[in-house]
Amino acid sequence: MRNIRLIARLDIKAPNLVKGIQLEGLRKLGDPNIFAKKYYQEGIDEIYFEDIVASLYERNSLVEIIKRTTENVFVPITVGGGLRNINDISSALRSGADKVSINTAAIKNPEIIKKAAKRFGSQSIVLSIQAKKNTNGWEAYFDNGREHSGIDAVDWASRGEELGAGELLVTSVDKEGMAKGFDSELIKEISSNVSIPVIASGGMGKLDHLSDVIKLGGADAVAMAHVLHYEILTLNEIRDYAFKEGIPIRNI
Amino acid sequence: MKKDVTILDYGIGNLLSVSRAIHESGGIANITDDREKIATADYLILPGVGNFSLAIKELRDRGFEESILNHQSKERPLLGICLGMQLFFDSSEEEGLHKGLGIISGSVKSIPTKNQSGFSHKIPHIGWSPLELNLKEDNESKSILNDQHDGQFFYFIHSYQGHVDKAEECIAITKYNDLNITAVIQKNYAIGCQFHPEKSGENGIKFLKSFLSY
Repeated sequence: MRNIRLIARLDIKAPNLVKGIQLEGLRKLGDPNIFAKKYYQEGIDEIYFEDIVASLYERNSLVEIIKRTTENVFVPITVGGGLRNINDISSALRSGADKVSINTAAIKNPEIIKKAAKRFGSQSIVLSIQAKKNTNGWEAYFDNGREHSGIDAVDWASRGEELGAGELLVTSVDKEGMAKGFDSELIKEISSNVSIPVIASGGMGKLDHLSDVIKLGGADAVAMAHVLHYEILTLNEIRDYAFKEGIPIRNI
Repeated sequence: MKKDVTILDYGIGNLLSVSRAIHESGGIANITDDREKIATADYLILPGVGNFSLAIKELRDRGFEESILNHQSKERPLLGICLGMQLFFDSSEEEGLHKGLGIISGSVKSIPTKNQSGFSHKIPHIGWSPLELNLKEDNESKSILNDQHDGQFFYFIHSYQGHVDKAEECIAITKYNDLNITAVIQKNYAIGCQFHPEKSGENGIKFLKSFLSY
């Protein structure tokens, strides 16, 4: 059996948890550790932290937050945002993160994925792809959806696998924060092209969206923010729905 | 009384998370690379993520291979986690053939990418997966696992898997698609788990408590 993972995505603008729409227009929601702990107690499978301004201001403030989270949260933690080199990755992993996700640094220098995978193992390295639809398909963006790279997102996913990424986090910039469903077409294009797990992110608003992105899109994991942070759905409701729909998930 | 647990620091693995999970399980965690401290450890944990060949080289270069084997020969509790468990085997095929610690007879091989009918397994295997116990009467009493663990979910993340020569030394498997994955190995007081107990929520903490009860 291959079980689908339910991931809580926490975007951080230190020291707060924030939520935006299409990665912009941020609202402060509070202490990220309180949210992380709550999701852990409710049975989340993984937690993903993204420092959404780190890359822009060339800093990374997540390390202190992760150190606190790992005191009492015993599920895997992925950290992204502003990790620029092997030292940054090493410091995130030493602070309790299990995986790191890399976007901007990889677009600027793809070799960082290769180096990091060799040093820390592919299973620690997640390539984060922020994709925006265009007339030909999807283009990869960086600096938290602000800058476009000219790189085709589907090609970039395959290249990421070749370079040694162990997993792909695919965020649809168009769908992010809209709560109107994932870009299942994008997820399908990418997941059918690679043989590493794909995490779908951006767009979860109601239960049916989960089924679409898994059954149509072939996602291996689903990252959720809006529905959890605003308490539109509880993890119990999501779990019950998945069982009913025949989506294999962790039994807690 | 709280048990002292020594976590071997050989430059590889998520030591902070392991030590916090030990704390949560009621133990006192000591992260160390001091061979004298390791020699007097009651409980020893060999963590590890990443590459087998790098890890075994680090262990050998730093003189820890002997420390671990000494600990094991004194029948003191030893726990290998993920890559730490894989290091217990005779050998691994990760990036060439490498000799392991030889605590468990068998070898470590990559998880096949396709099955016989052409179905592709995504690699790494990442996710929560339930244990299927393989306990015989003769290993039941001293096993780290009992009925309570059967069917419980643990967090796995790996691209390679251990294959035991002696079936009784694999005390639990998990299924990944149609593949049987060695999940827990045990030979006397040497225990290895492919999953990460420090990342497996309440189930992982319970597993570590079982380890500390030896």
